Amino acid sequence: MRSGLGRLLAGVGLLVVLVLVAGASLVLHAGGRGDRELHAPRLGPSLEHPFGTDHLGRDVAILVVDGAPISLSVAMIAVALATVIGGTVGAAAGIRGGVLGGVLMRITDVVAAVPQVVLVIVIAALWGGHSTMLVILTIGLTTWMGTARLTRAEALRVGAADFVQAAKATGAGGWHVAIRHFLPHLLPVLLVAGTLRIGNAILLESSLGFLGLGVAHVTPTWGRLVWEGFAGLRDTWWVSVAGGAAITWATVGANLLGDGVRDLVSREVD
Amino acid sequence: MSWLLRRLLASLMLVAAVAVATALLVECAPGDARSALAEGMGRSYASTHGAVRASPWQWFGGLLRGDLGTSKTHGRPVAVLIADRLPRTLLLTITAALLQLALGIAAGVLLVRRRGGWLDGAVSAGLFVLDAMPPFWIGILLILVFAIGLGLFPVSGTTSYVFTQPGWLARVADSAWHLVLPATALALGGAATIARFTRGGLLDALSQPFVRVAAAGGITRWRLLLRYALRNALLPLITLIGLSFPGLLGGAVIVEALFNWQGIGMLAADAVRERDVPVMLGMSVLFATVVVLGNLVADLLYAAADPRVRGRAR
Repeated sequence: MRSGLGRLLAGVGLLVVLVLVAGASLVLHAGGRGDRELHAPRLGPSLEHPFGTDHLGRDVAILVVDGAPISLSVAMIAVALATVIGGTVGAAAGIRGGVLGGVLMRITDVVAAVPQVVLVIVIAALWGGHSTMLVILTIGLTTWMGTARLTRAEALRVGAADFVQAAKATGAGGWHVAIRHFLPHLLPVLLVAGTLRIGNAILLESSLGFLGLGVAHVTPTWGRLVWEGFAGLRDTWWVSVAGGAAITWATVGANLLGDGVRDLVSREVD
Repeated sequence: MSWLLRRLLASLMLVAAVAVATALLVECAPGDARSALAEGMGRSYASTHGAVRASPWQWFGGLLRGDLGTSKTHGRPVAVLIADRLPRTLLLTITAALLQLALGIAAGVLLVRRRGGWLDGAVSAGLFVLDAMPPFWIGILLILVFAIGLGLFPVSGTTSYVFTQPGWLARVADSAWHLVLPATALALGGAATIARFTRGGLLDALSQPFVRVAAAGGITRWRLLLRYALRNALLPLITLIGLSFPGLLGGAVIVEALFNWQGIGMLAADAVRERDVPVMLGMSVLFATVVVLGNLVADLLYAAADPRVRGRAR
């Protein structure tokens, strides 16, 4: 667990289990088992129902499994979006510099000055939708600032290096230098920043779900499951516990993966 | 001094920019958001001016005069609502900040002191999992175990409805009793980050020549760690506290909703549910102000603690 590779593998292991679970859910649904059978309501955890059943008699273990595809895909796509935005802003600011760079970084400061959770819920509430797309856009548009700052710092470092100066001195064009000389150095930074933010995105999505703002779907996302369980905490505590455990599992996996990738990449750079 | 002045000015401009961005957000939002804002603005304005303001830009103008509009659900000026509830949120977040600092530093010191042992492994793994737990779930687990299960603390609320004992001391004790679970829920996630930083800083400091000299002098390992290494490791933590403000405030929204803690976080959560636009806007400006202030104070503290920074900042 100490080494980068160990963390990476542990993280991948945890996530692979989830992806298999999510895949199984999708396959079962595709096979016409879309309607899950109902059991007696408020059954405690047992061998038959490891996470018990909720107030409607739904098997909580199956709810967790069914929530996996939504919760995971929303986080992944949102992170991809945030990485593209942050990478573009940071690279433009770091490579071009000047007025453009200053303006871009001030915009970054402004967006970063409002706490992420607050920004996310204000946008989600103003647009008032429960669509998956809105949630992805909201999380993507509010989590790119750290990536932008990291990318800019790396671009500034690369820009001062001799090989870039040499390329410019030989008369290489701006785009050529950016793609040929900057991009190979920025990609590892983006990879690390991206994987490290997946856990955060899972937590944000679940926070939205917990406040009743997130994706509204027949099958609740994990955050929504915790929210639904909270209403009946005294009778059916296992609902909230199961939802939160799934979120924690996924976030631990994503964070291990991110740490591992960072360790491996930084060793490569050294 | 001019450095301080420039820093202050930059902070002010940042808050103003957040306000403009917030107004822009409403301008872009679907129509009913604008009309909801106009309604909130209208009530306070119509009573004194007999006219209705509609545009987000007029909200911004009002903001400059300290008028944040009127809440749809509470029927009172947003500024009054905020002023009413801010002390409770400050109590919660500052307690949580101190708690996470104490827990994080203690865990970090423990990790370094027992480096490589089973305790190091167990605490490291525990912190890693803690870091990954959503704050509302930490809160729910605390409620389950300590409020519902053991009955040690109240499930929710800021104070008891009925006081059996008179006197201010009983009131303080009652508030503290209600504060324990929400503050812990808010503090635990951040404590993991602080522990990680403390550990890194301590390991750095331990490899410095002055620590090695002290060690060669034959002082005890605890003394070496606490007296020599920790002092240096604490410096970067000042910045970290400033940086942890957004997380604490964001977490407060969730934790207050969870514990029915009547602070501004709860106000924000309610506003979001009720689409109370003036409250939401006032909230984001307020949160930005606190975050920017937090960073400013952290910078000032850092400059006060480390003379080397002052030279560079000028």
